[in-house]
Amino acid sequence: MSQATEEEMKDAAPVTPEQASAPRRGSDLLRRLRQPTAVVALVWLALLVIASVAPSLLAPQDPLTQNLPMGLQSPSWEHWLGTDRLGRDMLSRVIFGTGAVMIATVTAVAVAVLIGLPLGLIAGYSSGAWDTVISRIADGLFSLPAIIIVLAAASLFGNDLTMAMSVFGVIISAGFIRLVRASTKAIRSELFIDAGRVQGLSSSRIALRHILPNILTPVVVQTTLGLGLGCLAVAGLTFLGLGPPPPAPTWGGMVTDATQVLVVAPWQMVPPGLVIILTVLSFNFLGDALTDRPVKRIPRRRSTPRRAGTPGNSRTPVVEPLAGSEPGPAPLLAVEGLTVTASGPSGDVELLHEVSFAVRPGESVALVGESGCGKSVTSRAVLGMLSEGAQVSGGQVFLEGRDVARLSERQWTSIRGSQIAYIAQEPLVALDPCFSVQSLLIEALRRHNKLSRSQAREEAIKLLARVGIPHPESMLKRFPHQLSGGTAQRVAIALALTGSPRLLIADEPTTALDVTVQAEILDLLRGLQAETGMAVLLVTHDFGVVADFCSRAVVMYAGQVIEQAPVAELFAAPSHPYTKLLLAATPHDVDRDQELPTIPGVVPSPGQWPGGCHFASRCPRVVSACTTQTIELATPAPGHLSRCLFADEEHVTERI
Amino acid sequence: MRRIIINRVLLAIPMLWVVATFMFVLLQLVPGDSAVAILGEGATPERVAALRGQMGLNDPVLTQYLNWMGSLLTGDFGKSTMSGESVLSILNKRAPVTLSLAITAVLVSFAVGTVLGVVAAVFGGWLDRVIRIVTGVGVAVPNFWLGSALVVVVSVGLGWLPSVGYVPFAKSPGEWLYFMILPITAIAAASVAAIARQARAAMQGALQSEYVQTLRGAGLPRRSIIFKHALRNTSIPVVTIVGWQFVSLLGGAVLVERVFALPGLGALTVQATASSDFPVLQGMVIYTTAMVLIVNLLVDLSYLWLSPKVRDQ
Ligand code: SF4
Repeated sequence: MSQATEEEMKDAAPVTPEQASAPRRGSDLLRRLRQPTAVVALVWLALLVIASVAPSLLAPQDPLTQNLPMGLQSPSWEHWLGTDRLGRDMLSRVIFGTGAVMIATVTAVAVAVLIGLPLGLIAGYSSGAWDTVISRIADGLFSLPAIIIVLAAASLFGNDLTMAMSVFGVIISAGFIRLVRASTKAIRSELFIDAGRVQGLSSSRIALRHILPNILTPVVVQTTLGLGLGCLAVAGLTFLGLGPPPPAPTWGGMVTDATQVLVVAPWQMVPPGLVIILTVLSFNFLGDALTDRPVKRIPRRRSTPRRAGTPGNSRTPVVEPLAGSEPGPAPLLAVEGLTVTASGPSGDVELLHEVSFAVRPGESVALVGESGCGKSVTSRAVLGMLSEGAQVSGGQVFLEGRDVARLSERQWTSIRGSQIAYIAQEPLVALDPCFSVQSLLIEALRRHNKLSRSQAREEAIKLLARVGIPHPESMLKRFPHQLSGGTAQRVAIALALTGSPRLLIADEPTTALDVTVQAEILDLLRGLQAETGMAVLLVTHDFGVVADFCSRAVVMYAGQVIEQAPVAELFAAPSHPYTKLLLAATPHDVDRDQELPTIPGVVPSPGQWPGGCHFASRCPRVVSACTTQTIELATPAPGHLSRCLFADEEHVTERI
Repeated sequence: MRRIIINRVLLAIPMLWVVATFMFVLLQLVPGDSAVAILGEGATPERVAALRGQMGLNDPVLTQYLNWMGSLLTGDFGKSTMSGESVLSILNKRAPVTLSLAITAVLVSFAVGTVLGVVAAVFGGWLDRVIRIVTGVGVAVPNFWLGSALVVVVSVGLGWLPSVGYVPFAKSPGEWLYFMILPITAIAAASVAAIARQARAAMQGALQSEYVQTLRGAGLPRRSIIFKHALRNTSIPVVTIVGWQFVSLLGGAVLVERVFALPGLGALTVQATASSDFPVLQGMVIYTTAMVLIVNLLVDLSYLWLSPKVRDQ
């Protein structure tokens, strides 16, 4: 099976709670509308509706009453927005001009929705011929010169603004077709629709019941944008003289009038312009407010950590940092009391709390835990690649004896790749899709070594051979999307090796791969370790991988290290209830592709850690003492650490 | 590669056919007699009859359609009912003004918009906020209004640049630019804003992507990551909206040409609309559609050049 299909299936499998709660979408929309910008926009639009329906309610004067001696006045108490050339009240003219704009705009968008929604649904739901034809139509509409066609139509329909804007609606329906088609396709591939089909529901019922509520938000957003676009188009058309003939006021027509007195009365430009801009802005704000995901946005990366060089952290590295670790050579990596906080809108939140562990040269250490335990944050902190907003607020990270916890991005650039390197979880998205394998490798090789282009190319071939790629020369010209997952991961490993790093951080390097490929990649890493003496810190949730590959394991839970031991010891005598539950639930000999076994309850998220033991809420052994004190690391056996009040008892207990 | 280009060109032909047919159908749908519409209500029956004969309106619809298609194929767009001049030659005379305006505006918006978007995404902070607000307002400002406002401030107030006048590019590029700076600014502003927003989002996405993490992990310098890798990836979604921007810039040209009294296609459209010069309008629509199709073809080609993934499909 090709990689692409695999990917699609993976995407299709999980139904997130958000998707499952389709009926709640409506209330979600309402909640988003309570944002301040949305409220302002709604108030303005409500005023426009009143002005359209009953302009005389708002307008202080008759829009047509002339008063020549009072022409071209600036704003005054009597005429809030001044008067035009014929002495007519500008405010009243703006208000009386609203109706025509609104009707034409709404007509255009209504036409667009009426065409776009069904066509988009059909195209998205029935792939095949219909999809092709409808997509072609949308493409075609997109390449029409809209304003020129609308003008031509207007000329044919006797300058009827609403008719002309219906033609505009036909043209912009392309946007709706594309959007609805894409959303429908996305939802269609989701599990619950397939389930619905299995139960024998008809296609149209499925479309109405499941798809419509789910595409509500994008369609509403597109509608607001369409209204903004339509409003601009109407303004332009009335500027050219289309629509209600003078003396009836139109927004665009008022701009036309103003251009004739530009030199003597520039103020005339302001009222109609402002009204058009405010109206379009309101529609756009509304769209933005509805698009805004209330969920946290992934922060951007920063060039330098905010608290570079916090005083009091210049302690020299300790050679033996950990009470419980085995004696041995000086650690390559020593993480000591590492605390990471993220600053959010509601203050700082700890992501990691005093994490300590070490990796010795050539060693392979596992960082284990469920997702949300902090293992990825730890690996990112060690690489100096924390997300923006997250920073090291305590502790040290010693890399070959140097504290690197608070280096600037520039300083990090000289460390990463040569001392410490990284491979990511999803090999297929981990390589820059725009560059060939060759150019990626050559760039990285030349960055770390003094090589000419052709020398670097030779090196790249050698490197690809080292990571077990059969015909390295033929691989050079390939692009990432042409590689299988396993091959892409090999290339990513080759990229990480370009600077001969002494420590490789591998974040779930096999999770996205087939079982057979997983074993191959682990073999490759093992071989490379033997060859180069490189150490590996492997982030994983998979105890199978831990047993297969690592000599020591660090188990994390809710931002803390809760257990640490040599792997054999950990499997033989786990000494923390969490580790025990994890091990007990790990399927033996079954495919290890699945997520971590289910332990009742969820990992408390950062900011919601309980006062005592972080695991208390899910622990089968919990007693009241667990929740009233900070639990320290105990040493149930030499080289074995456990953060549990009952570490010693747990250590001897037979494994479940 | 060549196959893709040929494919694209072949796709453009039915598109033009559909547009031409659409214009023909539209003309049939016009309520009332188009000869009367052209000549005005007061025309004598003899003149109407003469014009009907001249326009072939007495033939069966199918014959009319085939005649119309046949003459289009030979490049004959008919004659203007106003001036009697050949539509194609009118269009060819007017097109350089509008094309030079729209194409320059596309290039300017692409360059300025991308720079703004990238700066906003890379530097963040207050700069990002300012760019976001400015571009947010930018997409809402009508180009014809902005053009007039520029005339008030720059031409009338400061006296720096002229508000009317035109010199062909072929004659003197310098003078052409002197007259075109304000019109270009007026129509490009909204596109700059739209492209900047797209570029900002794309750049942010790129900077958060896994491949950027991989490149950082491999120790590549920030300069290369941002300006070589992330920028290349950012340019792909940006280029795809450039075609659409060209369509809206053409529309903008129609309006802005009026503000600056430029003798281009826009002004011609307005005249033809006012005088119900249908042959000119029909020719105009087909002509501009062809231009948009050519620009879209160029966009597709650059897309192919930029994205290896698309190249393989
Ligand atoms: S300290 Fe108490 S709650 Fe925490 S793991 Fe041990 S027994 Fe469970």
